[in-house]
Amino acid sequence: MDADEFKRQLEALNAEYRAGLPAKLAEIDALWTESPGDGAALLRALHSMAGSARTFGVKGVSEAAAAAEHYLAPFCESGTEPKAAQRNEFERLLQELRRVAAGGSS
Amino acid sequence: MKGELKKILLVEDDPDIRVIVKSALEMLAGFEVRACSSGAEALSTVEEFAPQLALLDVMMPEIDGPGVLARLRERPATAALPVIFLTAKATPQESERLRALGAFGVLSKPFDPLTLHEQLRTIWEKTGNG
Repeated sequence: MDADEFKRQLEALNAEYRAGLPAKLAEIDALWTESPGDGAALLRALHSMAGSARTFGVKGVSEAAAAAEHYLAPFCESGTEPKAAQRNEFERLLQELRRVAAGGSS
Repeated sequence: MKGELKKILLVEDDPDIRVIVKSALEMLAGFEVRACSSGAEALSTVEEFAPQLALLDVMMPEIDGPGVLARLRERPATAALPVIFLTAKATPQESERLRALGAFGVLSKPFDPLTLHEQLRTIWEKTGNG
């Protein structure tokens, strides 16, 4: 297979990835709202989205996911529960992630 | 195992990254790639598959990349298996830490799928196996 043929395969994988973003966001929302005590799983999901979105060329989604990941990480590392204002800030970052993903930002 | 690089064990928990890496390495370079979604799966298949090189994600649940490397080093059949890490946190300090654990190379995410196989071959040749 030559590079051009692989690029076509890559475009198909990219389209599939973008089509799957709403489901990934729903998983992140569920981890945040339904399993607030499992910060590690939420952190992994955000880390995964930050890495994969950039690989698939959706830079805005990658940056928004990384921002949420970096905000959450210190709470997971220290084992402390975020306070109400910190939860609101994290909610704001998730909202930004949803907004960017819905716009298909690259 | 010396000679031309052909068989690669890929360990990556993210299904999207797993698909793109496997596709790139198989389609562009003709490598035979065994893709595993976890460290445990990799450790259960590595001796049967007998790869020449392992490409490991660093951050994975349960057994992370460095944990897989440590277990490979404990087994006679895989003690010398060249390992390359794939990480989103490829800072100089992190790369140095991973090399100190015994990695032959560290590749950063995001990567260019079109040139990933060339990067692997370059590292492979530097291991003295090529």
